[in-house]
Amino acid sequence: MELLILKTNINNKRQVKTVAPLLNRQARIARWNIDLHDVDKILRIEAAELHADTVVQLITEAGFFCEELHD
Amino acid sequence: MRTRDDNKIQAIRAHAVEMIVKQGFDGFSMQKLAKAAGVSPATLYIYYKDREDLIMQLWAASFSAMATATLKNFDPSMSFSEGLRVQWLNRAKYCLKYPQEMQFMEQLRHSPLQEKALEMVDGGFKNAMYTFVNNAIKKNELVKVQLEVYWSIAFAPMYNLVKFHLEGQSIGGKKFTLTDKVLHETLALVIKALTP
Repeated sequence: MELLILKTNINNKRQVKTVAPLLNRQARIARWNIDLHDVDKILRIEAAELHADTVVQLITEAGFFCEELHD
Repeated sequence: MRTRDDNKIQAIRAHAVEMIVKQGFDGFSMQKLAKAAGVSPATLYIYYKDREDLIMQLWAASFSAMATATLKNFDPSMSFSEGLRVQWLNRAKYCLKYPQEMQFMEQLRHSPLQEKALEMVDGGFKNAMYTFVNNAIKKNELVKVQLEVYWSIAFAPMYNLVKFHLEGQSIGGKKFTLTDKVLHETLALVIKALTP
């Protein structure tokens, strides 16, 4: 299992609901959550062999900003 | 999977408590914490699911350390005066050593996270406190009053002396240092007040 940490501009619960089906549909994603209390609105994903680019593309196509954060 | 680095976690905890105490929950962000602790924001999310998870884990660690310190050499079957003395010394020592942790726990108790925090508390500490009080009442060493009254008389005086000490001054800016003598004098009065 790997951990992907991405910065987004997903601001509220309504917007989380917009992206939720997209993320839930990904079989490789075991668990995900978005930290709405933090300025960076971090999308945290626990997944198996999932590339960050795939997620970035997914979220970007839904109309949001998304960028991977590295250690 | 990335490995856990205990030194990093220690640094993150220490900086988080300091930041929350100095700037409050509103002024606390993962980004600021990452900068202060010398890690990347991504690293924080390796250890914590989100901001709230971090705060709750901090609370659990602080509470558990406080409870362990308070229960050191304490036994709920002790006589009331001896048990209270042990607790006073333990609690005062802990507060003086870790004032920021105490302040942080106090802040959390006054935040919307309070309810969640209370759910996380391990029952062992609470049980030890209840058993001690019930025993003391049964043995007729403690007056029967409601819990809030008991706590306010039994512990609030000690916490207030500690507060004066940490601020370095008491009423009207008078200089104050908490000595063993003052602590024991106050404890004697508290025991007197609570003895039937």
